Amino acid sequence: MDFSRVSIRVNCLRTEPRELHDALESQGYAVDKVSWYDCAYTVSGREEKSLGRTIEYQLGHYYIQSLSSMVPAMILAPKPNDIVLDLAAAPGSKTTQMSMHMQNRGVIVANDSSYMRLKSLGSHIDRLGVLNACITNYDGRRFPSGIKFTKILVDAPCSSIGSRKGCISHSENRIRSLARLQTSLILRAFDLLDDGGVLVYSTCTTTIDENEDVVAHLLAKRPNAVIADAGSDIVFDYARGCGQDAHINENVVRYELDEAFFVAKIVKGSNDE
Amino acid sequence: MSKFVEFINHRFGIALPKGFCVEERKNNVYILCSDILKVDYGRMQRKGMLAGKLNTLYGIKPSLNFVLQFGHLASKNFIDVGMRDLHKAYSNIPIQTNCESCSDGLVILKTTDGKGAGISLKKGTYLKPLIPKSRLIAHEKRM
Repeated sequence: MDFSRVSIRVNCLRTEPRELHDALESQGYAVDKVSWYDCAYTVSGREEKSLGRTIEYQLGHYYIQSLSSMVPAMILAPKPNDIVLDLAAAPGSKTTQMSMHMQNRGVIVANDSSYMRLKSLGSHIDRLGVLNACITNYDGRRFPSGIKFTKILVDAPCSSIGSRKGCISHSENRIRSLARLQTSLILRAFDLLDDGGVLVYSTCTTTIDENEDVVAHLLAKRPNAVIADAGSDIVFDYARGCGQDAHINENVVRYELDEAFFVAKIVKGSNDE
Repeated sequence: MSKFVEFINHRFGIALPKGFCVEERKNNVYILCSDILKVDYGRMQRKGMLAGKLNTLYGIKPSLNFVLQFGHLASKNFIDVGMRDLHKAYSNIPIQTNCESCSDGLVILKTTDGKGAGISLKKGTYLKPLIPKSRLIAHEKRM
């Protein structure tokens, strides 16, 4: 039985992309490279759920992750000497991706407000061999001051309209409530940034209230917040190749690879600017 | 020196690479990048990766994830296994071995290219896999 293509991210802390490619192909999967990301493949040919039951999965060689959701961490581009905050980290796809890019060095503080979801975050951190992350359980809107982070990812809870998970219908009140939450999160995250630090805000929804309006609110409230090029070339190349939609409005990027996503990259200027 | 570090060094010949350290908390041992030692928050849940437990049925026991991450450093009490035996281990099926260089007790399973792949309990020629239930693969046919 075939299924529509599923994407995986190779965990380069444990294996090489080519090795995983060969291992999965030997099990009957059709594995294709993703042109804009060396660590990603699309997979088809067998039941989707079988991908979570391979030996390679249990050995931590890959993470089943949508292509769209791989982009925010790529745009944030954390390095081994960075101090990173992932403000809404669970279940851990982007935390583990960032750890891989940081080569298991530096610091990642992986936070989530839901104690129940921390278990899955911890199990992915363990399974993929992440050694540079610590897990905290704060409401992101009240994350404590102290460390000044060089990079922060706010992959905000959202209405998920356009997400592969499938969306349920949301009332206008619900969307407004989510937008208030997201605004509080982005403001708090920005205040935790070091001067010159980078914040990436992302959602998997299409509503303007939860995307452009949230970013606009930050820019209005924090004069030293500067929107930066979100590195959209990556996205455009792939999207054009697939005949799919990606466009920029003043440097924020809306795109739809396998699910809808929105990304904005903000840099913190010093208060003197 | 930590009891866990002493054990893995004595039993498997594994020396932790530079830049990593362990923290023991109650029965659990965590291995972490030294950079995150300085991070301290009131609602900290854990740091690093669960490396093992100090007090189990088998004594000090490294976790499967520790073995996957550092098993390639083992210089003693390890057994090379092919994919067939690895599938058995991850299906909780005992494996037979002729390995004479390993003493009875915990042994690390390595793939043929030298990477850590699992942990077992050796008694004579019999290897009992110690893969956690949550990590076993569903198999359609028992070999």
